[in-house]
Amino acid sequence: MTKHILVIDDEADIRDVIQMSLEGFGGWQVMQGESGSEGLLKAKTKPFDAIILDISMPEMDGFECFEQLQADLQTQMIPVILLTAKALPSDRRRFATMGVAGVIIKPFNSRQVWKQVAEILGWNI
Amino acid sequence: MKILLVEDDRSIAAMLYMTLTAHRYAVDLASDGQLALELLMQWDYDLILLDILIPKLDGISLCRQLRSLGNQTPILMLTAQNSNENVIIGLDAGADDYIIKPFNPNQLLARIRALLRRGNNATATVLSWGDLCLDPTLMKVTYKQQEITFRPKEYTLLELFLRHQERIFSRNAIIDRLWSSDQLPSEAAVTTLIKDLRSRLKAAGINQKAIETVHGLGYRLKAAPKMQVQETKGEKETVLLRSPTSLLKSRLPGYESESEVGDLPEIMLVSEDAVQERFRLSLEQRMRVLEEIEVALQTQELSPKQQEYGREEAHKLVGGLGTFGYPKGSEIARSIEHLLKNNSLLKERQTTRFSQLLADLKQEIALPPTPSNQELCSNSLVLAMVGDAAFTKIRSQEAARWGLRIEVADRSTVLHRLTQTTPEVILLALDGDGADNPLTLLQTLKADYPTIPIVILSGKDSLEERVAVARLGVEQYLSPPVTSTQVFEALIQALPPLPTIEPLETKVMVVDDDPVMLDTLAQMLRSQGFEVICLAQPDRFWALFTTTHPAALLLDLEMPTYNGLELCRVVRQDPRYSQLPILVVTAHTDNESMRRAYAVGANDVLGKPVVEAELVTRIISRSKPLSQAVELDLNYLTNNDKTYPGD
Repeated sequence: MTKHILVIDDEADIRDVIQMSLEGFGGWQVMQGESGSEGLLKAKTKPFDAIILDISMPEMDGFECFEQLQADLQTQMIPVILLTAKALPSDRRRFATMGVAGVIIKPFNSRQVWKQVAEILGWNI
Repeated sequence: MKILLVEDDRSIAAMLYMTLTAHRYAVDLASDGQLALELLMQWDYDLILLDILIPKLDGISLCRQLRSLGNQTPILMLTAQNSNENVIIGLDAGADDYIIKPFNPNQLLARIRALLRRGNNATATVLSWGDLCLDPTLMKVTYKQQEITFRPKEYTLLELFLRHQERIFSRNAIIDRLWSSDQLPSEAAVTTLIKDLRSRLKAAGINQKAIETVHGLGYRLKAAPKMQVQETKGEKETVLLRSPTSLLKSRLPGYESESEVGDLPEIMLVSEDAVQERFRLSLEQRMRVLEEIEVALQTQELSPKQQEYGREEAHKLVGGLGTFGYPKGSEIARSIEHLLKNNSLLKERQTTRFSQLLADLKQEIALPPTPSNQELCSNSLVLAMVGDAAFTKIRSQEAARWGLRIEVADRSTVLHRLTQTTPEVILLALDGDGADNPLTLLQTLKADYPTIPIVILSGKDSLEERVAVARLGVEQYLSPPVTSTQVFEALIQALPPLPTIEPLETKVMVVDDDPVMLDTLAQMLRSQGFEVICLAQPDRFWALFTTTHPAALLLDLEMPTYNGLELCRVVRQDPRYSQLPILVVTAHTDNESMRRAYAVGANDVLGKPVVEAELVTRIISRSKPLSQAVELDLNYLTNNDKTYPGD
């Protein structure tokens, strides 16, 4: 079964790199969302296997977007991986306790990020 | 250019449709707000022409909904009533401009052109590329002042490329923009159109290939002849990629498709180069934003809004530059982000600093990117040498939630692993497995890799062991029973601090009941680039302190109601602030007063009158990570009186 992943980030470059790594190397299928609100709409369009969510976005940030995903029965079961720039201990503590599947710290290695995703989600590659 | 016309009055819609298509716009028509919204979810439009009074979902609500979804397409309202109120509500709901019916078609077209210009952040009324010029008002194209004639579709395609220079358009994107939704040509039609446009440009005397094929992505206008886009060097690799459009044409009214709703678009080949190239272009745009800030700073015209925008762009550079092979550039961008984060606008000294950072960054990105390093993963690497039992709980999946990655080594392989990889922190279990002195390995690690922090997971809780590892400079010591959460907590605490935060963004809170003294201290600190919070009433201390989160405290010792010692004690009682640098300012620098200040937890005592240079030096030195201070104290103990607790 092909995995479907939704990537929510306001930066087109980062979305493209992740998409390239996940589709090209991982063989999965990626849909892009360019804002928190668009991501929330798209998250309901199909049963995604994972969502990769950027923390720092204008308007609706990743924290708020995650809360809304959790509040919706349709999306609350989808594992979420956060994308964040290098974080302070206090931020890391917050990520660890909010109930996400994992965190990927930027800058990531564009060739290897798909492996990070697989490892966090326990997918066999 | 593609326009969505939302109008329920058939005669007006027909008239507008004729006018717009005659001027080379592709037009989609929606007769109610609901249909308009559905179309907008599926297609990209360059502009929306929106009647306010439409059925199902009125124009104002449609505006609001679009804007709340982050859709920034320019909206031109058509309003019948000459009622200011309606216009104001519409503009506040997110519309960009309005025109009152009945209107002159030429005026409508001029407003559309103006909005389309605005959408592209361009102010030029004539689009140009080298000596090629396109005037949208006259619908005329010239090359070296000679007019070139085009067929309508060729003209609109050229206009599309000229409006969005540097942007890559896939065949699908071109179809979306040049044809209305009821006409769906094949992709081959686009290939033909590109070929025709190219030969027409060539016939006009443009020697080089103006429109280039970006393998696997689509087409793009080459950089104008006078500009040089830097080539990125990197090993080429072709991977499979789907086109990131998610058009569900099958949901369009009147369009029958064989594919299921939600089918992903076709697979195509894309090269890493294309993504790199796209990054290059966005990088240039972001640098321009920072350059504009530099100009605004020099002319003292920087607005808080522009500063905030610059901060956002710098933040994006932090992530982007690292990913694309500029780790050092990423760090410089981080400093720029910090600099712009200040709540107050930048001052002269910071302006100089900004220019310097920007120059460094330009220098950095002028170099070719370094190929991505061997690190497989960006999360902080923890090298763990743990026996089995204590630590099998810790699994990589849990580590990922903390932004960590764990690699397990054993005693025999650890030193070899360290020659190949540099962990950010080492986790070492001391379970005295009897083999040899467990401290031997620790000594070796500290001697060979003094900069890598170490967290000790002890099998027992002995003071002797604690002291022994403390003397070796170990950062954290955990004794049983210990939960995996506690282990992670210790690991993230031990991680090296983020690149130095510059003093100029350190927030210092000064508490002094003497307004003159308060002002003097604040002046000194501000002149050095610190952000200062002043408080003259000690009884309001706690509320202000806990809401402003200063990075250092400067307390006057002699104050009414609560004196500096009492405030110091209160802060130290709260575990959250156990490491906050506190400096006490006093006129009494006799030993007894000093001793009392240190006893309640002050880090430093400054005598009045305060000397500016000394004040700043002390604040900066006190803001250093505690681990370094502890190390100094330990050295002091071991070198001087050879005593330590527990002797």
